[in-house]
Amino acid sequence: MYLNKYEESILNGEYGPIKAKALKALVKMGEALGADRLIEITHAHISGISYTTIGEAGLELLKELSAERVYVDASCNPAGFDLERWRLLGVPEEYYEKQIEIINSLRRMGVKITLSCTPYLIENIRPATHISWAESNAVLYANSVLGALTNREGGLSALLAALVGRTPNYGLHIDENRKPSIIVNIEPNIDPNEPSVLGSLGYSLGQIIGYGVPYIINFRRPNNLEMVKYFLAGIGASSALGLIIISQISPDERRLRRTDLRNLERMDLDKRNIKNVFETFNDVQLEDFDIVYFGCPHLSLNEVLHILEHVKNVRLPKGKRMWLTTSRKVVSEIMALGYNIDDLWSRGILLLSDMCPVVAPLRIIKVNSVITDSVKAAHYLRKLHGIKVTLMERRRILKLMNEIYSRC
Amino acid sequence: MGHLTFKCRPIVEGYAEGEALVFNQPISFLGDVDPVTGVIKADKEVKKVKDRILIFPHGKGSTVGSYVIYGLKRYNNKPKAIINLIADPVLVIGCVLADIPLVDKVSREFFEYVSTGDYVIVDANQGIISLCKRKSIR
Repeated sequence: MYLNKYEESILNGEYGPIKAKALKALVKMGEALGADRLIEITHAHISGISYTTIGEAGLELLKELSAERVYVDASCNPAGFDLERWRLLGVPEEYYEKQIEIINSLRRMGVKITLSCTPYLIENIRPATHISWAESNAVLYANSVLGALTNREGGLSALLAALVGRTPNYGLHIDENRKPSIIVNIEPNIDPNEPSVLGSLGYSLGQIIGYGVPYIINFRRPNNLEMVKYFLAGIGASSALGLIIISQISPDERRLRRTDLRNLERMDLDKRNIKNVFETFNDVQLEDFDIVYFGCPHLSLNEVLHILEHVKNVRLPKGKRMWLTTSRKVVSEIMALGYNIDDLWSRGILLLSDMCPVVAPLRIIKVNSVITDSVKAAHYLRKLHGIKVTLMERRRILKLMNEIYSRC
Repeated sequence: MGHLTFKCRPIVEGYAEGEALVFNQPISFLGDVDPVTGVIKADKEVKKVKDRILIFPHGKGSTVGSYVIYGLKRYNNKPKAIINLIADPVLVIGCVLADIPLVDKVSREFFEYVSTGDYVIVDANQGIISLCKRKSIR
């Protein structure tokens, strides 16, 4: 692989043993994948920072790496609990200490402690810039909506890239690999504003198309563009795809020529695909849930406001909770709008930042059954925690909460 | 029967020799391998990876696997070398961080021929694997 003088000098240890190792790992990875050189990145997003996921080995490695600082702006994925209200969630002290140790390592490295899976709602990423992002929904959003260029990195490869500001030049960093491989026609009567429907559509798409770059036509634009995240999160949960080109939305569409679409296979996605996914995740009877969960991927400010407006008369009984997960930024905006987080909590409505149930110590804090509008959450909660899940439309969940748990 | 030699692609350099531990299925380091005990559970077998030449077609599953490979080093359980048909990024990164010699693109013949307990020499500097069947050592 070709390396420039700066990269050679890192590899030779002039910037210390840790950066040398980081660069070496990226070079070896690039060589194994056929990259010709390294390219500069402007941003990195690091996943795999929960103690539940990476354990003691991950904690130790991050501690070792934390003697060095990142070379480019970097953000990070959610952790195992809300940094302020962890005690109220029942998180044990020992677990708290371990998670904080990981976060402190990241902080020492200069990683922004954003603890959110929606860096695209927080960071300012320009189109056509090379970045190194982990977290599948964020990768798909960066490539398919923002028009940035990133492979689907693992948490560690994104962190190593952040340390040296480089990533191997292969895959989705190369224009030639961003051409469509199949055309997917979406049936027109599918609601583009319902998270569970969008997620199921994406999940089904990912199950059918395991690799390549699907070109999506007749996808109705949601009222709020960021809702596309549910579609992308569904795709990310069921496939290894890193880019889709959505007609009228994805910047990559502008570079397409008619010849790029010639002779492509074509398939349709319709309501039957969505119905199948709903039937896959249907373990929890309505009043048997421990938590009703919104926020995978993290909720935007608009979504939190919308949900809070709909549950203003809801008070949940003991043992039942509603979880809303979002970024620290959104929680502070909500507070600035006059909401009292403690009042919400006293009604069983837990507005949570910094965390995600998928990477939380759920068994320890005694969550065994979840109703959610997110297919990604349903997929991973069942797979990684073995708990019961039911996928349900957001509007239906909100309606039922009002019918069953209204305090008026 | 003497040594058989095979060409391979060196990825993480180094030299190692030892007893082979062979799996015919892809390995997910997160889930299949416990870094603290060094135990691997795959192909319905339970084995220790420490000081073995670990041989399997390719990795699969979570990217957290790199941390697990690093963990094997941390807990003094690392294999002496790893041989793959095709190495994936998770494994490459883990092996660089844990200083485990890694080679891939070795011929299918090698994979058909090698079995657990054989003596294997991995020269990941030159890209050469030598195989000595268990029977011929005795």
